[in-house]
Amino acid sequence: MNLNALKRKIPFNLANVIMYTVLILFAAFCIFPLLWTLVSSLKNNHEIFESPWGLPAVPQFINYWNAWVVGNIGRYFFNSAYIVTTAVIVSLIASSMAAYAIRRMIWKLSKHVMMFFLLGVMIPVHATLIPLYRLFNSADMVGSPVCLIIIYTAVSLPMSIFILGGFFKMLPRELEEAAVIDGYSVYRIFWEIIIPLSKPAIATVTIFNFIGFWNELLFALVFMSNVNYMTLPVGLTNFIGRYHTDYTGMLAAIMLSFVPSLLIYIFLHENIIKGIMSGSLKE
Amino acid sequence: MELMLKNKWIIFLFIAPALLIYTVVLFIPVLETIVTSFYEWNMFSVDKKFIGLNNFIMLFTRDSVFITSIKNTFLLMLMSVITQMPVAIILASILSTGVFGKKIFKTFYFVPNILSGAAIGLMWYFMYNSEFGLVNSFLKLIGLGSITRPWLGDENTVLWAIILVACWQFVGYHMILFLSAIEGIPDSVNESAIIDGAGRWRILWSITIPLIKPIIYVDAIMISTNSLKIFDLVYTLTAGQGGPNHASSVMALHMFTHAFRNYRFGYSSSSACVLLISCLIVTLLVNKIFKSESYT
Repeated sequence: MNLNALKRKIPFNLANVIMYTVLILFAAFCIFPLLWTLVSSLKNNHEIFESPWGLPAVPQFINYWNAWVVGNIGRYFFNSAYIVTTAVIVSLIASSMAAYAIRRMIWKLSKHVMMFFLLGVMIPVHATLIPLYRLFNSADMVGSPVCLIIIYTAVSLPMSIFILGGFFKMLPRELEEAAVIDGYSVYRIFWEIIIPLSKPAIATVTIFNFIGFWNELLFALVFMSNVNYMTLPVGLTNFIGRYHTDYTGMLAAIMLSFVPSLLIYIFLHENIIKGIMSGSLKE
Repeated sequence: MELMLKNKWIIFLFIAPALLIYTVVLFIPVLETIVTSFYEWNMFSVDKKFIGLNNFIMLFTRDSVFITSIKNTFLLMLMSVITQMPVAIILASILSTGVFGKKIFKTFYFVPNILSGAAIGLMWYFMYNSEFGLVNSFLKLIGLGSITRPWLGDENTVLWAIILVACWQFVGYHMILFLSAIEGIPDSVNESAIIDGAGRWRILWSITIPLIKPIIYVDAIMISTNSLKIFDLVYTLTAGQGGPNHASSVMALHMFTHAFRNYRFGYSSSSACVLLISCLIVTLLVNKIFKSESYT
């Protein structure tokens, strides 16, 4: 289909000119801020003021070193990676098990429990912030990464269970029947048959959870305000409001924080976009 | 096999972790927030005083920042719908006509959506810088140098500056949704319309949009509830202050400030309650608007 688009010549008429102009303008609007930040992060603090549109005379990679070490971005990176990866794994295990029980096992309350989980999609998480703080505070856990791991997992459960459940529902019953004949236990069926077959759904859930957790600010701000254990978004907020003059260093920090998301996007954008599009069709 | 799939213990084992975490971390706290909103409770004291609806009364009568926050939040929600949806629909409809470079455009439009609100806020914080920021430099470049100003430092412009950033972050997401919806419309529909002599605008307005109404409905709910909850952008763009003189404060920020800067748990819980109720009201409203049309 795309080959045809390449082969046919695009007629140079008013409608097309307008359409492409709109598309290109908006694309520029989306990308230019990122480009500007990248270019500016390689300037020194004088060039930023003197030549906002020019390229840096000599790319100042030292800005990135400053951001990583002096600005502590490296540590925040590690904290985020640890918390997010753990939360993604825990969420995956809990949600896949629950989705399996709801969709593949036979019990009367299964539909009700699913509805119960789906209610969570409507809950604005802000409404849980204060009681959760009290809860973890009384257990003296505020400042521990475990808080965020548990919270992020909980918040992601409704969506994850919904997506995985939808996928499980479509798997044929024959899978379990054949496995039982071969003497498989439920656990083996789950781990060795269902999960490997669900790679697309698992991939979708993993990607979305990873991005969502990595970018989260509010709860991380409340629970991880200790300078050593902050996540990346929280670390970035340190740069505002205080008297900082190393603008280029801060711009480098911003670029650094973009890297993981951009990497995931570059390699997995097909999956991401497909995930959203299929989600819309389900509605 | 039936017996195995009905085994109560196994079902319980599989469900338990998710159910436990979900109930304790999501469900119960919401109920707690509602209860706490009727108390006066300072974080450091052990006892709390039941004061009924006093918190709510204070919110609406004595707290000008709260009134501003509600106003701003709803304004933001309205402007988000107005600025993001039409642009997304137009872009999606253009892309659906099989233009050259569709994949590249799609990829570019969606990039802002995967970045963290904190990083985006910080980036635009610098872009709005009145001396070296991209916004003012751009305006000077195209000859509009006279309207440059400290966008984030001016009470009158700060909320609009934030609305622009929200637009930047989210249009791509809505566009992807609409693109998949529009591409789900069978070609025959468009072809017969063209045969009947309909121009592009007519097709978009009279055919495409009515056919993707379900997606518009879903998207409307998503935009509204998400903009009610907005926090990341406002916090980072305004250094946690909510703008000069709290001019761009939003509900989530108000709750956060009173809970974790002023340590008033009861009061901020009632703020959170108002947020909760607003989400419900908005969802019901959107439902009403969309479902009131009967399908013949």
